[in-house]
This record gives sequence, C-alpha cells and structure tokens, in this order.
Amino acid sequence: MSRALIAPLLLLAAGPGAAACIFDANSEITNPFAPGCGDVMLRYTESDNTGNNIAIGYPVPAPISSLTPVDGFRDYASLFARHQSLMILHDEVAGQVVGQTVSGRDIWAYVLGDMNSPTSEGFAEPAVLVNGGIHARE
Amino acid sequence: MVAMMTQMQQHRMRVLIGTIMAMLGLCPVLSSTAAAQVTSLAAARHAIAEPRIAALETELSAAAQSGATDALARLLQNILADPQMEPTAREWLLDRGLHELAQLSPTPAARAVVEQLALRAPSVFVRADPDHGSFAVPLYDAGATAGFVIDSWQRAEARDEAGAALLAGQTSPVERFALRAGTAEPDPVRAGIVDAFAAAPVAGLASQRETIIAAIDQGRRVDELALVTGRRLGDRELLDHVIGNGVAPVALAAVREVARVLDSVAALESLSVAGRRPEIASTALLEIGTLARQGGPARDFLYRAIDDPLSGPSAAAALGALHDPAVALELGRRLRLARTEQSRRLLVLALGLDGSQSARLELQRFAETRTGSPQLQNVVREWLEH
Repeated sequence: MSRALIAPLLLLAAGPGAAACIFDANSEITNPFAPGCGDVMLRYTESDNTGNNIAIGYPVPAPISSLTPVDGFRDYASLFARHQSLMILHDEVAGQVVGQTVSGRDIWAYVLGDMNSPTSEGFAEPAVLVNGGIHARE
Repeated sequence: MVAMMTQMQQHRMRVLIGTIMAMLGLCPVLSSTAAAQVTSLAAARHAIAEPRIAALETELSAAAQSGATDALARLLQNILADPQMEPTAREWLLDRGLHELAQLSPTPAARAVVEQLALRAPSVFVRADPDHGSFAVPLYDAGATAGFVIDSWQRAEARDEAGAALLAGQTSPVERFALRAGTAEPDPVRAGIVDAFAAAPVAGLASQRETIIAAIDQGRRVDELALVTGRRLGDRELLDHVIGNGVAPVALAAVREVARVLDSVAALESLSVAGRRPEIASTALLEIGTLARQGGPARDFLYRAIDDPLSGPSAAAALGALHDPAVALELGRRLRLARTEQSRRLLVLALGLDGSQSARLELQRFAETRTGSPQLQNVVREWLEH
C-alpha cells in the first residue's frame, strides 16, 4: 500500500496532531519529543485506514519468538537470546557491551573470528562491520 | 508473461519500473494521465492544504459516510479529469477516496473507476529518507490503493458468501478454500473464507470439523481453516494436525495458540511434539516457557531440554525469561553439578538471559569456582560487569 510505503511522510504531511510539530526549512521536525508532536502514534492495520490507522493491505506482521529463523519478524528478546547463545556456545564469537541506548538497553558488539589481528603473512586481517537490530521490527 | 500475471503483480512491476526510472532521474510518462515528478515534503504539504483540496476531501468523506458509493465514484472521476489540479493534490485525493470506497459495497460505477485506477502508476515521488541516499520513492500510489480496494471487495464478498453457507450448515466453503490452495498469495477469497470461520457461531463450526479433517487426510491444504476452527473449538486434534503437517507460518501460528486454548497438560503435550519439528521447535519451547510460569511439568520439561544440543538454547531462553528466583537457584545447583562444558554453557546462558539479582548471584558463585573453560569464564565476567 502506498500509505505503508510513506508512513513516516504521512506523519509529517498530514498526521493528526502534526500541527504541534515545528518544521525547519528542510521539512525536518525540530521538536520530535514535544507533546502533541512526538506522541502521535500511527498504527498499521490490515484494512482500517481511519484516524491514526494505516491500512497496509495484508496481515500486519507480528513479531514471533524464535531463536531460529522463521518466515517473518522475530521479537527482540528471542533475537537477543540467539546472539547470546552464539556467543556462549562458540569460542570464535566474542561479545562485549559497548554502550547503552537512550532507553537504557545495553548495546552489544560481537566479534566473529579467531581474534588474531595479523594474518599468517603479518598483514592486518580484513574486517567487515555488520550492524543490525537497530530499526524496530527489521 | 504479462497476461499470466495477477493484477497486483502487474502493478508491482509498474511501481518497480517507475521507481527505478525516478531514481535514475528520467521521470518517465508511465500512465496516460500523469507524468512522474519528484516533489518535496514541504511542497506536498502545501498542495494538500489548499482550501479547495481540503474541501474536496471533506466531500469525499461525506459521500462515504452517507454510503453514496456512486457519488464517491463520480467525485473520483471528476478529480481524474481536472486538468488544473496540482498533481500531488490529485494523487492524495485519489488515495483518500479509494480508501473510503474500500469500506463500501461496490457498485458498477465504483468498480469501473477502481479498475481504471488500478492501472495507474505512481506519478509523484519524493526523496524522503536521507539514510537511503537521494532515491525517490512514491509519495502516493493510487494504483496500489485501488488494488487494495479490489481485494477488499473480493474478501468481503467471499466472507459473506461463506458466512451464509456456514449458517446453512453447508461445507462448500471448505471445498472452495481447498480448491484455491496454491493461488496467488495473499488470496482475498481465502482470507474472506477464514474471516467467515472466525466470525461464525461456534455451533456452526462444529459441523465443519469432520469436513476439515477429511480434507487434511486427503492431503488438501486447509491449514488456515483448521487453525481458526481448532482455536475457536479448543480442538486439540485440529491444532495438532496443523502443528504436525501445516505449512510453517500457519503451524507457527498454531503453536502460539495452543497455550491459550488448551489446558496446560494438553498444551504441553502438543508443544512437546512441536518441539521436534525444526521450523517451529524454538517457538514451541519458548511457548512451553509461558506454561512454566506456574512451575510443574512444563518447567521440568525445560530443565531436561536444556541438556539437548539442539533445543538447549531455546530452553535456556525460556527458563531465563521466567526471572524466577527458584529457577535461578535450580539452574545454579545444576551448574555446580554439571560435568560437561556444553551443559555448563547452556546453564550459564539461561542465568545470563535471566539477569535478575538471583541469577547474578549464581553466576558469581560459578565464577568463584573457576570451573569451565577460560572463554566461558570471560563471558560470565562480561555479564557480571554490566
């Protein structure tokens, strides 16, 4: 559905309560946490497009609790449990807390590899950074 | 190939092509009525706030609220035919009007305008998300919304037809559902039949039970009907059929219903079986965790499962999620008695995921024993530091 594609835009363009938001010249909200602006909650629904509801035209995906991959979204707790289980069950996975989110959750970083910084030829090993679990429900 | 595509598939292809062309800055003419353009959020907001546009939207809403389907369809035709209307405002109004039509019963005039609009490609794009570069995405997509309206109408028709058949004690909805298995997903007709089963009187559903089981025994795909009927009747046999043989997404949904509709003994038995099917095993073990809040056999099951290499991590997560001091104490006791590194790691995982004061105390005790591998002790140290 078009409105599903542009849900964030709707919040800016026509979301109820958006009048309390203040926009800059680039149409960015300058007061996202102000009462009447940041507290606007849009809800995805399968077919109800009234009020703050946005119809997406198919069943709204609900997070599923599972440590293993499933056809759909997994919830935060089970994804976190999966990461922690990989860390604790496999010596080539090491983890540490590198900070906290604004909500006070620990931010974990995991290093996958043998932990040797140089290759057998003495060069630095190539590395890849993967980030995830950042956007809700992705 | 195009002739073999469903309407929705054709539309998705048009959106994809349109989006790619807009990203390339080519802004092609993709429909006979509107050329593609890239606008800004500020300009879009200004366009739809125009008094004339706001008045038209009010008119659309008023027609919908009074059930004047043909008047609503005429308004949409007028909006389409207005050459003076600003393109963003036009697409916005079409989208709004279509959503209103989705809530009404179709008339020939409404069907005609919706089918016409379903062929419409997005024509107004916006670069909305700086995180994704300067790609332009559709701001409004009346064609997709029209597809949604058509699906909504088909679904409502299927629901009403199946509902009437169920009230009359007929089994034709099961047959119709099974015949449509394998059609395009999502199928509004099948969804409508499921809606009817979800809303039908329970007494009427009981008479459908044998037909559904017979269909399953014949290898026909009626998983969704078995699920909704099993859930509403609290019927373990139907739910077990879905858990054992249903396609994975429906089987997953059944796993999540079991603890809610069956008694705890029957639920544990069903979930234990589900725990042996790989695609749904982890969810089943976590659901057993919800049964284990009351202690008893479910908790004992998880204590046993934590020693299994395959189910161990999920059992550990289920036990950790209980945040129960008694569970932490038992996990700590088992940890002190554990003889293998694998067992220690899974028990430590459960305590780490628990994270409560009781669990941390057990981890502290374990750290002081200096048993287990250095890697395991490192993990425990990392947990205890936070």
